[in-house]
Amino acid sequence: MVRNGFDSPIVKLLNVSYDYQSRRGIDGVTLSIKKGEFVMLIGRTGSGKTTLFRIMSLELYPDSGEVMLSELKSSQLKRKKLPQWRRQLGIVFQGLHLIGNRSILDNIRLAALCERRLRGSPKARSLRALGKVGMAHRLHDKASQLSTGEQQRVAIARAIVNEPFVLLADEPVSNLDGETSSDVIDILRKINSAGTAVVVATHQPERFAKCNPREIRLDNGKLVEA
Amino acid sequence: MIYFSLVEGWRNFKNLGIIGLLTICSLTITLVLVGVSLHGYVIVDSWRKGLLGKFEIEAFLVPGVDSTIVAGLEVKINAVKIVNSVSFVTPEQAAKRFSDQFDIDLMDMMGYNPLPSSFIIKLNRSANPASSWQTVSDRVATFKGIDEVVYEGKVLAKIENFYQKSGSVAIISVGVMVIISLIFTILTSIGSIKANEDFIRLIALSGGSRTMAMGPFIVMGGYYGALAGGIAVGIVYFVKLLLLLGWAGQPVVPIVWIPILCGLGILIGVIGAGWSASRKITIY
Repeated sequence: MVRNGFDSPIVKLLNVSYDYQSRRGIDGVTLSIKKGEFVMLIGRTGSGKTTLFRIMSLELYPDSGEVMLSELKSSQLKRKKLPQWRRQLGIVFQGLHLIGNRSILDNIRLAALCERRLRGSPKARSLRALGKVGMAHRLHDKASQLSTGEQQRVAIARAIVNEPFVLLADEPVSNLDGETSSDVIDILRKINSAGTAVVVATHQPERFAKCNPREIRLDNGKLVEA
Repeated sequence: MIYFSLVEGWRNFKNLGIIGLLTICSLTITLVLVGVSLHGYVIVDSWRKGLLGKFEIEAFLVPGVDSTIVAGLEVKINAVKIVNSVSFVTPEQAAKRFSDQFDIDLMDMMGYNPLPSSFIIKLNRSANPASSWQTVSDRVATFKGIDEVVYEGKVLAKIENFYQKSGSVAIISVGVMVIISLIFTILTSIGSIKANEDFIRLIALSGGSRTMAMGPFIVMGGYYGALAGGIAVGIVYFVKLLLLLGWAGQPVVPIVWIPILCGLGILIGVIGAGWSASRKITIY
């Protein structure tokens, strides 16, 4: 893996478009995210924030345009290189998608097992990630036994366990009360200050004011302000 | 990766529902059918070979044929492929055989021995009677000094017909059961994949390979097959024990069939689950 310098874009989207069967998802979006940046993707529900994340992770391939991540290009990416692409991203899904009947440690260790080239065993890295989000004391609890705020922290720990270049967090505070969301935002700030680019999709931009983010606004799949 | 697949596959296997039980049942029935068919094949084949061993081709010589020609004929017949043995029967020996078989003395009855010299030809047991007996018979009939060639063609044809029909029925039954159990395995695997969408998504988006995402489901199919194979081996050997009680002289079934049955079960499980995983895990 090639670690880019702070000024060079780590993620680049060039005129990316994606259509769902019945509606337009993303319409000609061009943007870049630099290493260590805190970016806020703002837009109403259905504006294309989640679609953009899914395109960045190549869960969806753009109908046109190009996505670049570090030295990789989506148009030239071979199927077997897809895991390498995805290992550079950490994703906090909007629905969290934790495996409810498994322990917190298991949830994170599964993600850690996907990246074998980092130092430390998957378990040790999982414990470290849990420590960063303040959940190390609950590692044997089942994910379904946690509160929404705690689940959000675990989802963040899972996303950072493989030390990604970019963390994508889809509506990380939308279901949380003020105090809990403040805790989660603090965790995201710490991750960002350690050098990981953080991209947050939200329809509540005011909550992230203290992160001093660069704002990108989406409306109906189009980039209206960056 | 293998350890991961084994552990995660076991976790999926433990969560088997009704359709999982149906899969194991159908796989078990399939494997029992295969085991019993194989067992039946050994028994029927043993009977067939025993019966065929009693059959022979009889080649009658032209009356008064020269002894040098007879000696040459014996060599030529022996040289025919799949001929196991040739023995020369003099008219006197033929008359004695007739007398032993039918309790009639031809010399007493007719005043002379009308039976000609002949060769009794036996074929290899592995020879396929449907074609080879006719071929050998036709070939021998062309040799100079041979008057007529006879063998029990109709009886042989009946034995072969029965043998081949039994084989066809067994193969068709096994084939149908394999397809049914494959369908159940595929349905179970699809159910398991749907129930574990979060797991697959997590592996895929955390940078795990496609093999890593598919492995646990393929291994789960293998576990189904192994369990069904184990049960089937037990049932088949129980059936064999019952047969032994009724018939001490039944042919020995090789022990190698235990891994064959288990292996077949695992193969069906792995193929069914692998097919489902390759079709339903679409995040790559």
